Amino acid sequence: MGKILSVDDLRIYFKMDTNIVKAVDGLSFDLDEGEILGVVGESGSGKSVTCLGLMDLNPQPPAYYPSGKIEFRGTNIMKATKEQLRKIRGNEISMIFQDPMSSLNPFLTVETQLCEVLIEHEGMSSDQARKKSIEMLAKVGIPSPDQRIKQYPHQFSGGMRQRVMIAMALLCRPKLLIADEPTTALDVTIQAQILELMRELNREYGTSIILITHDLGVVAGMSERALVMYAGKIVERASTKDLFEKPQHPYTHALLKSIPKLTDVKGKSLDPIPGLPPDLSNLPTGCSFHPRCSRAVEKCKESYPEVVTLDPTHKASCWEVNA
Amino acid sequence: MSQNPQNLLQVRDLKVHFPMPKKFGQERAVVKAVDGIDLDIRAGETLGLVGESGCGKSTLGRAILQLIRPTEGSVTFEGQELTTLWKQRFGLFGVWSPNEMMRRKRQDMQMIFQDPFSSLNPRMTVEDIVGEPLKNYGILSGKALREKVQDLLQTVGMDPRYIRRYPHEFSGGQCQRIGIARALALNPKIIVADEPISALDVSIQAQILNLLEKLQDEFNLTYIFIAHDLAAVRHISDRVAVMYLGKVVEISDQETIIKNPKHPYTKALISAIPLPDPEQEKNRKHIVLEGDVPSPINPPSGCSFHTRCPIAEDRCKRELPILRNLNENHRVSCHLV
Ligand SMILES: Nc1ncnc2c1ncn2[C@@H]1O[C@H](COP(=O)(O)OP(=O)(O)OP(=O)(O)O)[C@@H](O)[C@H]1O
Ligand SMILES: Nc1ncnc2c1ncn2[C@@H]1O[C@H](COP(=O)(O)OP(=O)(O)OP(=O)(O)O)[C@@H](O)[C@H]1O
Ligand SMILES: [Mg+2]
Ligand SMILES: [Mg+2]
Repeated sequence: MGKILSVDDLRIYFKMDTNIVKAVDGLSFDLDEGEILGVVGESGSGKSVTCLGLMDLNPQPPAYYPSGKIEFRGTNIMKATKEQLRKIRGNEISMIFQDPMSSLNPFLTVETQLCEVLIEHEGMSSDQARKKSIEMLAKVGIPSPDQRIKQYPHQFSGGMRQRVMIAMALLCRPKLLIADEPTTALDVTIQAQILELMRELNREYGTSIILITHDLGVVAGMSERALVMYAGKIVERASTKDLFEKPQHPYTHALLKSIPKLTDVKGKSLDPIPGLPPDLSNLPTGCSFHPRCSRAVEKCKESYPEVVTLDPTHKASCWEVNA
Repeated sequence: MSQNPQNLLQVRDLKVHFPMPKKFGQERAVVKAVDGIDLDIRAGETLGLVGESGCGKSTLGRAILQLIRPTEGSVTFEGQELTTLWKQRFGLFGVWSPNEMMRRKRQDMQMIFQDPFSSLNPRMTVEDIVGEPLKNYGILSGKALREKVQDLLQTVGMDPRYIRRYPHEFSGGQCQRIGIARALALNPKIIVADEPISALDVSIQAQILNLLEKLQDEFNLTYIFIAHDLAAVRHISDRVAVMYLGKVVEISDQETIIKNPKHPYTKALISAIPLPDPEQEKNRKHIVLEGDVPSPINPPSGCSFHTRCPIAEDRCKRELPILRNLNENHRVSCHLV
């Protein structure tokens, strides 16, 4: 199968008054056509900045790209013209943003916003677009869609707003869907329904999906392969199965251990990873995780670990992991 | 139900209805977001509140804290009726706003808002956002204020050096923690935490849950904890209330809700929780609810769950079930239990 996206040594830094925030620091990964790739990682590890970077949406300045190449279906995103980017963003890549209000306009009704997508990109008449939009709202589980479509985003609940945005992204039937925490605001039943819609899009139109989530349960059910990010870098990549069964990086271990379980008793303290997330403008020397790592040795403070290849699909960056 | 002095907060027959846009020649429709809720909340406990997206959780939380004015019903906090503490400015058609007494009461009642991005003013620095309540109530200023803000940031697991930054410079999870720090600033007695951990990765979720529990032990805090993640709710809550379409359909201690749920809706919710294990997850049987989520504009007749209920009978379509006691601490509204 061909590759739809390949990212090579991507760095995205933010220039602040007195320092530089290294939000994404040397990221490389590929995405196959029709693949669903899971991305998990610590809050603040650069997941959203990466996604925005893939569509060249980070505000520049303060953002800048010291290195990297993003190739999407033969186009180098970082060298693309405004016109090329506009086309790609509208027709080929859709994004479900983590913050619903960043893609919804508070002053326009939901109807206006959904129909615009269809009229502009699919050339539909406004009646057709309205009908299609109401259908899509029903699919994402909004009751009385024909009445609700006339309302403004602030009249929707948090999860309903998130679903309006999902509806908008799905309406375009993109080649690549970037979904940044698409179901955080949703309860399990509606989450299942939304994930099924995404799978359907993937099956029927071959849409590739990058699925960012902190919900390891969602990754488990959706993707064959997953990346784990920490402090702007990929620290482990593996098939989802291996990631859960034999996590290698101590961060992945710790992440799996800190999930609350239904079998927990009330009052049992959870096991969070000790310490604070690293300051991205002043990263620890060596491996960024070493100050919080239970297995850190002297070497971890000195130099960044090389990638250890356990098998062709399973790689981790840690000095303590043996191939 | 009578007043019980042990209760920090009592909610009686609370309703919040939102008007829909009016269609020509028709009655104005309303969204019955909260439609007759009774709750007793004891000092020092955590009440988990779960239910489908759109069922009215945030609206209930906001109406309890009087951040929106309830359409009907009563909320008593430490013996004080809150719903009467509103005054209408500019005469009969003026907007309703809280009076001075409410302002004082609000110091003890804080909310952690659901949407971490839009609940923070983009033009204020973190220092101003977190410090604002302390400044407004004239509690701290100057250097002491800054130190307190830095303390609070540290408490929620953030670098205290970030105080000069603006919200857009933070990730989703970081914004959520700023909102938590702001809610903690005034040492309130009760916090309505609306999805406080949904934007956080599991490790930081664990940190925040532990933190909320620690603060509760220290200050005898009371929480209403809104979440859709039942495992997290289970972890932190003493009791759990399950909402469906503006009503509470089941309430009990957390153990009973998870292990011995009675309402068919609660049962479906629990079976739908994804497991963080690919093998188990792929082979698991979920109770999938048939049918669409009904609309709070025209809720179904009788039991509002009957349209999706796997065991509904004829009677469920006609008669409205009431929330009745199965035993002292387990209440269910279902004809068939
Ligand atoms: N405009 C900006 N200016 C400065 N720093 C920024 C900006 N945008 C993001 N950052 C920083 O970049 C880092 C990565 O942020 P990002 O939003 O990618 O995290 P994330 O992995 O998506 O986290 P979360 O799970 O909490 O959403 C964070 O430390 C954040 O503070
Ligand atoms: N300001 C408002 N104007 C009109 N309708 C509103 C308003 N706020 C909420 N609603 C409606 O009330 C209902 C309940 O919304 P609420 O935000 O309480 O749901 P929720 O249970 O918190 O859902 P979620 O889990 O998605 O956050 C929804 O149908 C919503 O559209
Ligand atoms: Mg993010
Ligand atoms: Mg809500």
